[in-house]
Amino acid sequence: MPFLMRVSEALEAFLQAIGRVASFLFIPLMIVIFYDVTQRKILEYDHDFTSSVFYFSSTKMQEMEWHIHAVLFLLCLAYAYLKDAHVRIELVRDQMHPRTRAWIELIGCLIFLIPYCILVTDYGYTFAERAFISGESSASGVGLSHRWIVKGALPLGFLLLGLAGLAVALRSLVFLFGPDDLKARAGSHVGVHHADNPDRPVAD
Amino acid sequence: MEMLVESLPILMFLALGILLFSGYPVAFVLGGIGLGFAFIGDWLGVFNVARLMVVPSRIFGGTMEAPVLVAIPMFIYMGTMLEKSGVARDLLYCLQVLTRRVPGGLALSVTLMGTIMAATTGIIGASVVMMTLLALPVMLERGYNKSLATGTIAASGTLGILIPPSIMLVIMSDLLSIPVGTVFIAAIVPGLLLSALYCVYIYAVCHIKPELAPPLPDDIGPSDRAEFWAMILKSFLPPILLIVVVLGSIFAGFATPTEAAGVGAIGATVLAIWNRKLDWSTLKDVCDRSALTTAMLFGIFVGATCFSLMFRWLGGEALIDEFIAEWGVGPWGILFVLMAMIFFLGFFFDWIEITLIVLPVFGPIVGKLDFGGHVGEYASIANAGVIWFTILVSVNLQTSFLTPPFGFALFYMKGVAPPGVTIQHIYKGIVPFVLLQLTGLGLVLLFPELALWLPGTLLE
Repeated sequence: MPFLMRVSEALEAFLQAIGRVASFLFIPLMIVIFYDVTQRKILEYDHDFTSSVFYFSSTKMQEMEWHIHAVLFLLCLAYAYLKDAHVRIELVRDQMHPRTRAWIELIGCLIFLIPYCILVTDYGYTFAERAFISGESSASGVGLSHRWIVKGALPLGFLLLGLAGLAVALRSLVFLFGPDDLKARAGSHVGVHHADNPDRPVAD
Repeated sequence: MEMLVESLPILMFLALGILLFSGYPVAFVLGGIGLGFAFIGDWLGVFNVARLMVVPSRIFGGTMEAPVLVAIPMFIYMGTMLEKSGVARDLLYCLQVLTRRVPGGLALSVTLMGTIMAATTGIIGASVVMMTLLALPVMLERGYNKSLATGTIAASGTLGILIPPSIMLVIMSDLLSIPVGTVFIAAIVPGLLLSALYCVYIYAVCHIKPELAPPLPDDIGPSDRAEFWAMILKSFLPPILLIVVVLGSIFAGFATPTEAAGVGAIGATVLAIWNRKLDWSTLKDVCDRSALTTAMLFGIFVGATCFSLMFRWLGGEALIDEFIAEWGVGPWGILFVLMAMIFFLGFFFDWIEITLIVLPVFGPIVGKLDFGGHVGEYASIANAGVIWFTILVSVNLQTSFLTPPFGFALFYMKGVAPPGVTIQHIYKGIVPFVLLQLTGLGLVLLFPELALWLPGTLLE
């Protein structure tokens, strides 16, 4: 049991680190949008500017926007699960015994989350691989090339989410069958909270 | 056997209804059920699991390669930044000072705050929790009636889903294939109408029964004129200007919602720097919280992709079409049934689940509904009927979140309210606001012009 706990915690530390780094993508995202708006609305009549190296075509900039957005949310799916930020319907859950909640978490991971992640990771990999082999670029011709990178974020995000599911499943196992001294550490996903409450305890 | 195959889509919804209450995250339940029914269909010989191969390209096309949806993380960031950097708190204080001599001033300031700061994330739970934490302790301290205070906060906190920039309207427009900008403009008059109804009610009830809302002492706020204007300049004008610029550039057709949201996010960051409230840990906190909210939202998006795909493949859409054709209640009947269904779902679920599960299934029907001359003709708006429907659904959802005994917003409020406030206080306080909501809903239903006149005129 202590071994399972350590595996789970190591996995979580790894996944949370990725999520934390990915969360800073908000900053490049807003800068790209701002840059695009500024150059198109304000500077576009200035020839010195449009012929300089600081000018990027709007098509490229706008494609970059959704690229960043997609990578941002995909890489944070796992992080959000570990922080227990995904919406739950808590009406009935509030009344449940913590052990029941742990059972539900375990079963949910095994029959819902992990299989769905395997599906999307597996087919998503083929999806990205196809883009890589064909050297797919933006359909608009003047957009970004290397479409496989953003397509690859899809299987990657779901691989991470599946690993988060594994970590939570291991945790729930420890909570259900482990020794008492590990239970407190393992119980991060059996507590009751109301999802958006900023004061709720979160697992760190 | 054939019976079973035909009822698979219905069983899907049944399974969803039951399994959601297990408390396992909605996003994963949706994906899991979609996958599970693919296997059941395969086992019954009516489906081939290999068809799920298209799920990644559906997710890619529906949630990743969608420029409009980029507005969502940016609006979330903007709202979170305004909240965490204290701009929201300062604005509320400023509004309290401005309304201090009016009966029910504190309650009015909360309503105005809800109207202006509708941007703050737009997730019902988060908005109501924020408003409760900001405003309820102050109101109780000043001796406000508990029911009046909680009713005002719950109603104003939920206004955010309707008044632009609203994330919900972005998602609904995307799902129904209508332009976000037009829907934003259409939501303005109904949103302000509700806000005005709240204000008139609060003013009237506090005028008649002053004991419900003791006036603030005169010494609150700045002591002289110079200080007063400094406060207006520092904490009132900047956020108002930001919201006006963001919305104005969308309405004037100068910027797309995504561009406006990005500029708004930068603006909120600059505002925080200007107020000397932005340090490294605040920035980290804002990014972190915005990322969690964005991931939560898009998690449901990707889960619902598989669910609604399977529903369609197993013949769900045809089933609904057939059902409606046989039923023969006409467009009004269908509209009322849909509205009743959405109202009922609002007791248990936030708008995210409702729009992402219900709209992909019923959206195609809505487009086909014909209300004759009721909606009217607008040369500058395509799909006027669908836009009117979107606004109706928004007002309906907001009403549903406030309606006891299951009102979704009320539970969130109870969760963070001080111990002296019971659920009975909250129930009692919300009743007048629910009646105002129903008035608003009825007006928009009877007079589609309320939603469509402004876009019809502005976009000409």
